[in-house]
Amino acid sequence: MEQKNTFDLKVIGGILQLDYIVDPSIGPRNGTIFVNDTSVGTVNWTNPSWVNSSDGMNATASLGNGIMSRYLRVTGFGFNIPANSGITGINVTILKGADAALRVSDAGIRIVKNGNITGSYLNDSSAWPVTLTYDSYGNSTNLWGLSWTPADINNNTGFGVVCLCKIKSKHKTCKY
Amino acid sequence: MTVYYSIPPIITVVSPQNITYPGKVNFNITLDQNGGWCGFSLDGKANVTMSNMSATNFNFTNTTMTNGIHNVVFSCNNTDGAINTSSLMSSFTIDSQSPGLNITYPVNNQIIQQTFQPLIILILI
Repeated sequence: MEQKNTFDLKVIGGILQLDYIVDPSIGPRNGTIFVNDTSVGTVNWTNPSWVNSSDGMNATASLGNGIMSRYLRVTGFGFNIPANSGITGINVTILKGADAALRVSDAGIRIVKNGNITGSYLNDSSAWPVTLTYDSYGNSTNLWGLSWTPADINNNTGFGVVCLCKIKSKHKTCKY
Repeated sequence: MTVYYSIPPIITVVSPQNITYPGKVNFNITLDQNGGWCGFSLDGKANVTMSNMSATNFNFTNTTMTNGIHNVVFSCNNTDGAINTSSLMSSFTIDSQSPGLNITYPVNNQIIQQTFQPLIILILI
């Protein structure tokens, strides 16, 4: 949903309208296409489509020592950015957790542009919590190291995010 | 996932207006937000880059305009770079020719005769 905020500053004796316009945004939106992308890593994701909600049914990857998961690739966000706009930032929020503390961390949080995994790694170096917790990647001014057009974002099957987790110590499981 | 974007600047054409100019034309526009680049296409030709007088005011002076009716379309990016928008087409006319002067009287080589009567005033003291 597009958001464009105007703040009214009330003063004694009348209303002084202070037009403070922030950049509009669309989202947050959930993905609709979930794929166990085998281009990287070794451990497949079980039930990748279960990443689509926080209902307790999770996509999981059970890792061994020193092993990385495959990419969990999420696209199909259905954005419809106006054609003459400029993209200023992309934010991704991921609900994640591990079955033991201090054992799992991000290995590759990257963007999918025109079907290709590309751009900056926005990994959070901290260990995943046991309790499923939201983690935020990027912001309103972070373009993940790339330049964007509205068409890139509106490419429903070609725009998204991939998540890759790795073991920090011993055999543990990543959950999205 | 949330995607943030900016909207294009709104262009206000200060000049040219829909009038007749004697020759030199000042192309001048203002924006409702900071512009990164502005230019104009004159009669469908390639864009000409304008100079920024300020972050929201762009200008270009053309001293070699040809006579006739012209159309101009302005385009601007905001500071995010990727945004472009165009104003509505503006029409104006150049007429740099001096007005013709046709002398109808007297005709060429005509001899004009006129009689003068002297006026004599005597002042007696």
